[in-house]
Amino acid sequence: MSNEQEHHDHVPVYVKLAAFLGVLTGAEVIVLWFAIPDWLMYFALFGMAAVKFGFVVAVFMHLKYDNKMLTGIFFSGFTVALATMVAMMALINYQPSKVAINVKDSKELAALNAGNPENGPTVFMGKGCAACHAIDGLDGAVGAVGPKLTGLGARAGNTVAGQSAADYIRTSIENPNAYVVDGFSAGLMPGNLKGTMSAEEYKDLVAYLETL
Amino acid sequence: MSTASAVVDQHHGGHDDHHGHEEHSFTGIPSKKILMWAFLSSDCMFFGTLISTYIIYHGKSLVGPYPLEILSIPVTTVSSFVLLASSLLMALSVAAVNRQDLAKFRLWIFMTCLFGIIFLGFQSFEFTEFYHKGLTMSTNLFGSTFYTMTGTHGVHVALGVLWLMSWFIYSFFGDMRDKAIDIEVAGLYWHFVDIVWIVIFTVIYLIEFVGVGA
Repeated sequence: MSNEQEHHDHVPVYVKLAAFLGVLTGAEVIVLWFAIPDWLMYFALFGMAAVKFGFVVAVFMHLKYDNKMLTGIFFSGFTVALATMVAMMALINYQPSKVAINVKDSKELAALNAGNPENGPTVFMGKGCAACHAIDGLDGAVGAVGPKLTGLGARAGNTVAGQSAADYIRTSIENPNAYVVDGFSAGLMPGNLKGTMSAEEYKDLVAYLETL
Repeated sequence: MSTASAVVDQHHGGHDDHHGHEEHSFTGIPSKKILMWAFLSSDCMFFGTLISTYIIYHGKSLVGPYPLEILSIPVTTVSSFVLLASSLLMALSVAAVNRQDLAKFRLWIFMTCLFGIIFLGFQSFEFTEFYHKGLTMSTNLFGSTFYTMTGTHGVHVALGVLWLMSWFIYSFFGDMRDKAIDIEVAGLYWHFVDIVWIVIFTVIYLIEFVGVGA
Protein backbone atom coordinates (compact mmCIF):
# COMPACT_ATOMS: atom_id res chain seq x y z
CA MET A 1 0.00 0.00 0.00
CA SER A 2 3.03 2.24 0.27
CA ASN A 3 2.86 2.54 -3.51
CA GLU A 4 -0.54 4.12 -3.30
CA GLN A 5 0.88 6.65 -0.95
CA GLU A 6 3.73 7.36 -3.31
CA HIS A 7 1.43 8.05 -6.23
CA HIS A 8 -0.96 9.98 -4.10
CA ASP A 9 1.86 12.28 -3.09
CA HIS A 10 2.48 13.17 -6.70
CA VAL A 11 -0.89 14.79 -7.12
CA PRO A 12 0.01 18.14 -5.49
CA VAL A 13 3.17 18.14 -7.62
CA TYR A 14 1.09 17.63 -10.76
CA VAL A 15 -1.24 20.48 -9.86
CA LYS A 16 1.62 22.87 -9.07
CA LEU A 17 3.39 21.90 -12.29
CA ALA A 18 0.24 22.45 -14.34
CA ALA A 19 -0.17 25.89 -12.80
CA PHE A 20 3.47 26.69 -13.54
CA LEU A 21 3.12 25.49 -17.15
CA GLY A 22 -0.02 27.60 -17.53
CA VAL A 23 1.82 30.69 -16.30
CA LEU A 24 4.71 29.93 -18.64
CA THR A 25 2.35 29.57 -21.61
CA GLY A 26 0.83 32.95 -20.72
CA ALA A 27 4.33 34.42 -20.50
CA GLU A 28 5.19 33.04 -23.94
CA VAL A 29 2.31 34.98 -25.45
CA ILE A 30 2.75 38.16 -23.42
CA VAL A 31 6.46 38.40 -24.21
CA LEU A 32 5.50 38.94 -27.88
CA TRP A 33 4.33 42.44 -26.99
CA PHE A 34 7.68 43.41 -25.49
CA ALA A 35 10.00 45.39 -27.69
CA ILE A 36 13.11 43.30 -27.27
CA PRO A 37 15.71 42.34 -29.86
CA ASP A 38 14.71 39.44 -32.10
CA TRP A 39 17.55 37.20 -30.94
CA LEU A 40 16.49 37.65 -27.33
CA MET A 41 12.89 36.94 -28.29
CA TYR A 42 13.87 33.69 -30.02
CA PHE A 43 15.98 32.76 -27.03
CA ALA A 44 13.10 33.45 -24.63
CA LEU A 45 10.47 31.62 -26.70
CA PHE A 46 12.56 28.52 -27.40
CA GLY A 47 13.84 28.55 -23.82
CA MET A 48 10.34 28.57 -22.35
CA ALA A 49 9.19 25.86 -24.78
CA ALA A 50 12.17 23.72 -23.76
CA VAL A 51 11.39 24.20 -20.05
CA LYS A 52 7.75 23.19 -20.61
CA PHE A 53 8.82 20.21 -22.69
CA GLY A 54 11.32 19.14 -20.04
CA PHE A 55 8.91 19.38 -17.13
CA VAL A 56 6.14 17.45 -18.87
CA VAL A 57 8.56 14.69 -19.84
CA ALA A 58 10.20 14.56 -16.41
CA VAL A 59 7.15 14.78 -14.16
CA PHE A 60 3.91 14.03 -16.04
CA MET A 61 5.65 11.30 -18.01
CA HIS A 62 7.59 10.13 -14.95
CA LEU A 63 11.03 10.01 -16.54
CA LYS A 64 12.44 11.66 -13.44
CA TYR A 65 11.24 8.76 -11.27
CA ASP A 66 11.57 5.90 -13.75
CA ASN A 67 14.42 3.70 -14.87
CA LYS A 68 16.98 5.84 -16.72
CA MET A 69 16.89 3.41 -19.60
CA LEU A 70 13.54 4.90 -20.65
CA THR A 71 15.13 8.35 -20.74
CA GLY A 72 17.83 6.88 -22.95
CA ILE A 73 15.33 5.27 -25.31
CA PHE A 74 13.33 8.45 -25.70
CA PHE A 75 16.17 10.90 -26.06
CA SER A 76 18.08 8.75 -28.52
CA GLY A 77 15.16 9.10 -30.93
CA PHE A 78 14.69 12.73 -29.94
CA THR A 79 18.36 13.50 -30.63
CA VAL A 80 18.27 11.82 -34.03
CA ALA A 81 15.12 13.82 -34.84
CA LEU A 82 16.67 17.10 -33.72
CA ALA A 83 19.91 16.43 -35.60
CA THR A 84 17.96 15.53 -38.74
CA MET A 85 15.97 18.74 -38.45
CA VAL A 86 19.07 20.87 -38.08
CA ALA A 87 20.79 19.05 -40.96
CA MET A 88 17.76 19.40 -43.24
CA MET A 89 17.41 23.10 -42.52
CA ALA A 90 21.12 23.73 -42.96
CA LEU A 91 21.50 21.77 -46.18
CA ILE A 92 18.25 22.39 -48.02
CA ASN A 93 19.52 25.57 -49.65
CA TYR A 94 23.10 24.44 -49.91
CA GLN A 95 24.60 24.85 -53.32
CA PRO A 96 28.27 24.45 -53.98
CA SER A 97 29.28 27.99 -54.86
CA LYS A 98 32.75 27.13 -56.05
CA VAL A 99 33.97 24.06 -57.82
CA ALA A 100 37.57 23.25 -57.14
CA ILE A 101 39.46 22.33 -60.29
CA ASN A 102 43.00 21.12 -60.25
CA VAL A 103 45.01 22.31 -63.20
CA LYS A 104 48.67 21.61 -63.79
CA ASP A 105 49.60 24.59 -65.94
CA SER A 106 48.25 27.57 -67.81
CA LYS A 107 47.61 25.48 -70.92
CA GLU A 108 45.18 23.28 -69.06
CA LEU A 109 43.55 26.32 -67.54
CA ALA A 110 43.19 27.88 -70.99
CA ALA A 111 41.67 24.65 -72.29
CA LEU A 112 39.11 24.72 -69.46
CA ASN A 113 38.26 28.34 -70.19
CA ALA A 114 38.02 27.84 -73.92
CA GLY A 115 34.59 27.74 -75.46
CA ASN A 116 33.33 25.09 -77.80
CA PRO A 117 33.25 26.57 -81.31
CA GLU A 118 30.80 23.90 -82.48
CA ASN A 119 28.07 25.49 -80.36
CA GLY A 120 28.85 28.95 -81.76
CA PRO A 121 26.50 28.86 -84.77
CA THR A 122 23.59 27.95 -82.49
CA VAL A 123 24.29 30.92 -80.24
CA PHE A 124 24.90 33.18 -83.26
CA MET A 125 21.53 32.30 -84.79
CA GLY A 126 19.72 32.08 -81.47
CA LYS A 127 20.69 35.56 -80.31
CA GLY A 128 19.71 37.16 -83.59
CA CYS A 129 23.23 38.14 -84.71
CA ALA A 130 22.42 36.82 -88.20
CA ALA A 131 19.88 39.58 -88.78
CA CYS A 132 22.74 42.04 -89.24
CA HIS A 133 25.84 39.96 -89.92
CA ALA A 134 26.46 37.58 -92.79
CA ILE A 135 28.70 34.53 -92.57
CA ASP A 136 29.47 32.43 -95.63
CA GLY A 137 28.37 28.87 -95.18
CA LEU A 138 26.03 29.55 -92.29
CA ASP A 139 22.42 29.22 -93.41
CA GLY A 140 20.33 32.28 -92.63
CA ALA A 141 23.28 34.50 -91.74
CA VAL A 142 22.76 37.02 -94.53
CA GLY A 143 22.24 40.37 -92.75
CA ALA A 144 23.98 43.42 -94.22
CA VAL A 145 23.44 46.08 -91.54
CA GLY A 146 26.77 45.21 -89.94
CA PRO A 147 30.02 43.96 -91.42
CA LYS A 148 30.21 40.48 -92.89
CA LEU A 149 32.07 38.25 -90.44
CA THR A 150 33.59 35.76 -92.87
CA GLY A 151 37.36 35.79 -92.30
CA LEU A 152 36.94 37.63 -88.98
CA GLY A 153 39.25 35.27 -87.12
CA ALA A 154 42.09 36.02 -89.49
CA ARG A 155 41.51 39.82 -89.49
CA ALA A 156 40.71 40.37 -85.84
CA GLY A 157 44.22 39.76 -84.55
CA ASN A 158 45.69 42.37 -86.88
CA THR A 159 43.16 45.14 -86.60
CA VAL A 160 44.19 46.76 -83.33
CA ALA A 161 47.81 46.71 -82.27
CA GLY A 162 48.44 44.60 -79.20
CA GLN A 163 45.02 42.97 -79.16
CA SER A 164 44.53 39.29 -79.85
CA ALA A 165 41.73 38.07 -82.11
CA ALA A 166 39.72 36.89 -79.11
CA ASP A 167 40.17 40.22 -77.30
CA TYR A 168 39.13 42.17 -80.36
CA ILE A 169 36.01 40.03 -80.82
CA ARG A 170 35.06 40.34 -77.16
CA THR A 171 35.59 44.10 -77.16
CA SER A 172 33.47 44.45 -80.29
CA ILE A 173 30.59 42.53 -78.73
CA GLU A 174 30.73 44.14 -75.30
CA ASN A 175 31.38 47.66 -76.59
CA PRO A 176 30.24 47.73 -80.25
CA ASN A 177 31.27 51.35 -80.84
CA ALA A 178 34.91 50.82 -79.78
CA TYR A 179 36.02 50.01 -83.31
CA VAL A 180 33.52 50.66 -86.08
CA VAL A 181 34.45 49.14 -89.43
CA ASP A 182 34.73 51.70 -92.26
CA GLY A 183 31.48 52.10 -94.14
CA PHE A 184 29.24 51.16 -91.20
CA SER A 185 27.46 53.38 -88.68
CA ALA A 186 28.18 53.48 -84.99
CA GLY A 187 25.34 53.07 -82.53
CA LEU A 188 23.39 50.42 -84.40
CA MET A 189 24.56 47.29 -82.56
CA PRO A 190 23.05 46.68 -79.11
CA GLY A 191 25.65 46.88 -76.38
CA ASN A 192 23.98 44.42 -74.03
CA LEU A 193 24.18 41.26 -76.12
CA LYS A 194 26.59 39.58 -73.74
CA GLY A 195 24.00 39.92 -71.00
CA THR A 196 21.54 37.84 -72.97
CA MET A 197 23.87 34.84 -72.97
CA SER A 198 25.12 32.47 -70.35
CA ALA A 199 28.86 32.52 -69.69
CA GLU A 200 29.11 29.25 -71.54
CA GLU A 201 27.24 30.53 -74.60
CA TYR A 202 29.42 33.63 -74.74
CA LYS A 203 32.62 31.59 -74.63
CA ASP A 204 31.30 29.29 -77.35
CA LEU A 205 30.35 32.24 -79.55
CA VAL A 206 33.73 33.93 -79.23
CA ALA A 207 35.51 30.61 -79.89
CA TYR A 208 33.39 30.13 -83.01
CA LEU A 209 34.01 33.65 -84.35
CA GLU A 210 37.77 33.11 -83.93
CA THR A 211 37.58 30.14 -86.32
CA LEU A 212 36.05 32.18 -89.12
CA MET B 1 19.47 -20.78 -8.77
CA SER B 2 17.55 -20.04 -5.63
CA THR B 3 19.73 -17.00 -5.01
CA ALA B 4 18.98 -15.70 -8.48
CA SER B 5 15.24 -16.09 -8.09
CA ALA B 6 15.40 -14.47 -4.67
CA VAL B 7 17.15 -11.49 -6.21
CA VAL B 8 14.55 -11.31 -8.96
CA ASP B 9 11.73 -11.50 -6.44
CA GLN B 10 13.24 -8.80 -4.35
CA HIS B 11 13.83 -6.67 -7.41
CA HIS B 12 10.32 -7.26 -8.63
CA GLY B 13 8.82 -6.49 -5.27
CA GLY B 14 10.83 -3.33 -4.92
CA HIS B 15 9.70 -1.94 -8.21
CA ASP B 16 6.12 -3.08 -8.23
CA ASP B 17 4.65 0.39 -8.45
CA HIS B 18 1.38 -0.87 -9.76
CA HIS B 19 -1.23 -3.39 -8.90
CA GLY B 20 -1.73 -6.52 -10.91
CA HIS B 21 0.59 -8.67 -12.94
CA GLU B 22 2.71 -6.80 -15.40
CA GLU B 23 5.01 -8.36 -17.89
CA HIS B 24 8.43 -7.22 -16.85
CA SER B 25 11.38 -7.41 -19.16
CA PHE B 26 14.80 -8.45 -17.85
CA THR B 27 15.41 -4.76 -17.18
CA GLY B 28 12.72 -4.67 -14.52
CA ILE B 29 10.70 -2.24 -16.64
CA PRO B 30 7.24 -3.30 -17.81
CA SER B 31 7.47 -4.31 -21.48
CA LYS B 32 4.48 -2.19 -22.45
CA LYS B 33 6.24 0.85 -21.09
CA ILE B 34 9.44 0.16 -23.04
CA LEU B 35 7.36 -0.34 -26.16
CA MET B 36 5.55 2.96 -25.69
CA TRP B 37 8.76 4.90 -25.08
CA ALA B 38 10.34 3.32 -28.16
CA PHE B 39 7.29 4.31 -30.18
CA LEU B 40 7.36 7.88 -28.84
CA SER B 41 11.06 8.02 -29.65
CA SER B 42 10.27 7.16 -33.27
CA ASP B 43 7.32 9.54 -33.28
CA CYS B 44 9.80 12.34 -32.48
CA MET B 45 11.41 11.68 -35.84
CA PHE B 46 8.00 11.66 -37.55
CA PHE B 47 7.05 15.06 -36.16
CA GLY B 48 10.63 16.29 -36.56
CA THR B 49 10.43 15.87 -40.33
CA LEU B 50 7.00 17.52 -40.52
CA ILE B 51 8.09 20.49 -38.41
CA SER B 52 11.36 21.00 -40.27
CA THR B 53 9.53 20.77 -43.59
CA TYR B 54 7.25 23.56 -42.39
CA ILE B 55 10.26 25.66 -41.37
CA ILE B 56 12.13 25.01 -44.62
CA TYR B 57 9.20 26.10 -46.78
CA HIS B 58 8.31 28.98 -44.49
CA GLY B 59 8.27 32.26 -46.40
CA LYS B 60 8.44 30.47 -49.75
CA SER B 61 4.75 30.63 -50.60
CA LEU B 62 4.15 32.44 -53.89
CA VAL B 63 0.52 33.30 -53.21
CA GLY B 64 -1.48 34.05 -50.05
CA PRO B 65 -2.94 33.59 -47.57
CA TYR B 66 0.34 33.92 -45.69
CA PRO B 67 0.77 32.76 -42.06
CA LEU B 68 0.80 36.28 -40.60
CA GLU B 69 -2.53 37.06 -42.26
CA ILE B 70 -4.49 34.20 -40.77
CA LEU B 71 -2.76 32.64 -37.75
CA SER B 72 -4.57 33.65 -34.57
CA ILE B 73 -2.61 33.81 -31.33
CA PRO B 74 -5.65 34.29 -29.03
CA VAL B 75 -7.49 31.22 -30.36
CA THR B 76 -4.40 29.03 -30.30
CA THR B 77 -3.41 30.22 -26.83
CA VAL B 78 -6.76 29.06 -25.47
CA SER B 79 -6.48 25.69 -27.21
CA SER B 80 -2.91 25.34 -25.86
CA PHE B 81 -4.23 25.88 -22.34
CA VAL B 82 -6.90 23.25 -22.98
CA LEU B 83 -4.35 20.66 -24.07
CA LEU B 84 -2.05 21.55 -21.18
CA ALA B 85 -4.92 21.13 -18.72
CA SER B 86 -5.76 17.77 -20.27
CA SER B 87 -2.22 16.65 -19.43
CA LEU B 88 -2.87 17.43 -15.76
CA LEU B 89 -6.18 15.54 -15.94
CA MET B 90 -4.38 12.59 -17.49
CA ALA B 91 -1.78 12.58 -14.71
CA LEU B 92 -4.62 12.66 -12.16
CA SER B 93 -6.29 9.70 -13.94
CA VAL B 94 -3.11 7.65 -13.67
CA ALA B 95 -2.71 8.58 -9.99
CA ALA B 96 -6.36 7.61 -9.35
CA VAL B 97 -6.11 4.23 -11.04
CA ASN B 98 -2.95 3.55 -9.08
CA ARG B 99 -4.93 4.20 -5.89
CA GLN B 100 -7.74 2.05 -7.36
CA ASP B 101 -10.03 5.04 -6.84
CA LEU B 102 -12.40 4.10 -9.65
CA ALA B 103 -14.80 7.02 -9.27
CA LYS B 104 -11.99 9.57 -9.54
CA PHE B 105 -10.37 7.62 -12.34
CA ARG B 106 -13.57 7.73 -14.39
CA LEU B 107 -14.05 11.42 -13.69
CA TRP B 108 -10.51 12.43 -14.63
CA ILE B 109 -10.18 10.24 -17.71
CA PHE B 110 -13.55 11.43 -18.95
CA MET B 111 -12.44 15.03 -18.43
CA THR B 112 -9.18 14.28 -20.27
CA CYS B 113 -11.19 13.01 -23.25
CA LEU B 114 -13.49 16.01 -23.04
CA PHE B 115 -10.55 18.45 -23.10
CA GLY B 116 -9.07 16.50 -26.00
CA ILE B 117 -12.35 16.88 -27.87
CA ILE B 118 -12.46 20.61 -27.05
CA PHE B 119 -8.95 20.93 -28.46
CA LEU B 120 -10.07 19.15 -31.63
CA GLY B 121 -13.05 21.51 -31.75
CA PHE B 122 -10.67 24.48 -31.74
CA GLN B 123 -8.66 22.85 -34.50
CA SER B 124 -11.77 22.23 -36.59
CA PHE B 125 -12.77 25.85 -36.07
CA GLU B 126 -9.30 26.99 -37.12
CA PHE B 127 -9.18 24.77 -40.21
CA THR B 128 -12.67 25.88 -41.29
CA GLU B 129 -11.74 29.53 -40.76
CA PHE B 130 -8.56 29.13 -42.81
CA TYR B 131 -10.44 27.30 -45.55
CA HIS B 132 -12.92 30.16 -45.86
CA LYS B 133 -10.02 32.60 -46.04
CA GLY B 134 -8.74 30.67 -49.04
CA LEU B 135 -6.14 28.37 -47.53
CA THR B 136 -6.34 24.76 -48.65
CA MET B 137 -3.71 22.06 -48.72
CA SER B 138 -2.96 22.93 -52.34
CA THR B 139 -3.10 26.73 -52.16
CA ASN B 140 0.57 27.24 -51.35
CA LEU B 141 3.51 25.75 -49.47
CA PHE B 142 2.21 27.21 -46.21
CA GLY B 143 -1.12 25.41 -46.66
CA SER B 144 0.49 22.08 -47.58
CA THR B 145 2.98 22.04 -44.72
CA PHE B 146 0.66 23.59 -42.13
CA TYR B 147 -2.25 21.22 -42.66
CA THR B 148 0.01 18.16 -42.92
CA MET B 149 1.75 18.92 -39.63
CA THR B 150 -1.15 20.18 -37.50
CA GLY B 151 -3.44 17.61 -39.11
CA THR B 152 -1.08 14.78 -38.15
CA HIS B 153 -1.02 16.15 -34.61
CA GLY B 154 -4.83 16.34 -34.62
CA VAL B 155 -5.02 12.70 -35.70
CA HIS B 156 -2.76 11.82 -32.76
CA VAL B 157 -5.13 13.67 -30.41
CA ALA B 158 -8.18 11.97 -31.95
CA LEU B 159 -6.62 8.50 -31.58
CA GLY B 160 -5.72 9.36 -27.99
CA VAL B 161 -9.31 10.37 -27.26
CA LEU B 162 -10.58 7.04 -28.69
CA TRP B 163 -7.98 5.13 -26.68
CA LEU B 164 -8.79 6.87 -23.38
CA MET B 165 -12.53 6.76 -24.02
CA SER B 166 -12.33 3.00 -24.52
CA TRP B 167 -10.69 2.70 -21.08
CA PHE B 168 -13.39 4.90 -19.58
CA ILE B 169 -16.04 2.55 -20.97
CA TYR B 170 -14.04 -0.53 -20.03
CA SER B 171 -13.88 0.62 -16.40
CA PHE B 172 -17.64 0.05 -16.05
CA PHE B 173 -17.49 -3.54 -17.27
CA GLY B 174 -13.98 -4.85 -16.74
CA ASP B 175 -11.63 -5.36 -13.83
CA MET B 176 -9.33 -2.35 -13.50
CA ARG B 177 -7.16 -3.83 -10.76
CA ASP B 178 -4.42 -5.01 -13.11
CA LYS B 179 -4.86 -2.23 -15.67
CA ALA B 180 -2.83 0.55 -14.04
CA ILE B 181 0.09 -0.04 -16.39
CA ASP B 182 -2.20 0.20 -19.43
CA ILE B 183 -3.54 3.54 -18.27
CA GLU B 184 -0.04 4.78 -17.55
CA VAL B 185 1.11 3.79 -21.06
CA ALA B 186 -1.92 5.50 -22.62
CA GLY B 187 -1.04 8.51 -20.46
CA LEU B 188 2.51 8.59 -21.84
CA TYR B 189 1.06 8.80 -25.33
CA TRP B 190 -1.29 11.58 -24.26
CA HIS B 191 1.48 13.66 -22.65
CA PHE B 192 3.61 13.19 -25.74
CA VAL B 193 0.86 14.68 -27.88
CA ASP B 194 0.94 17.62 -25.47
CA ILE B 195 4.70 18.17 -25.77
CA VAL B 196 4.49 18.00 -29.56
CA TRP B 197 1.95 20.80 -29.32
CA ILE B 198 4.31 22.80 -27.09
CA VAL B 199 6.81 22.70 -29.96
CA ILE B 200 4.23 23.41 -32.68
CA PHE B 201 2.75 26.30 -30.71
CA THR B 202 6.19 27.90 -30.44
CA VAL B 203 7.55 27.18 -33.90
CA ILE B 204 4.43 27.82 -35.98
CA TYR B 205 2.45 30.36 -34.00
CA LEU B 206 4.66 32.34 -31.62
CA ILE B 207 7.79 32.62 -33.78
CA GLU B 208 5.68 33.95 -36.65
CA PHE B 209 4.97 37.10 -34.65
CA VAL B 210 8.53 37.87 -33.54
CA GLY B 211 9.36 41.39 -34.65
CA VAL B 212 5.74 41.99 -35.62
CA GLY B 213 3.98 41.88 -32.26
CA ALA B 214 0.84 39.90 -31.62
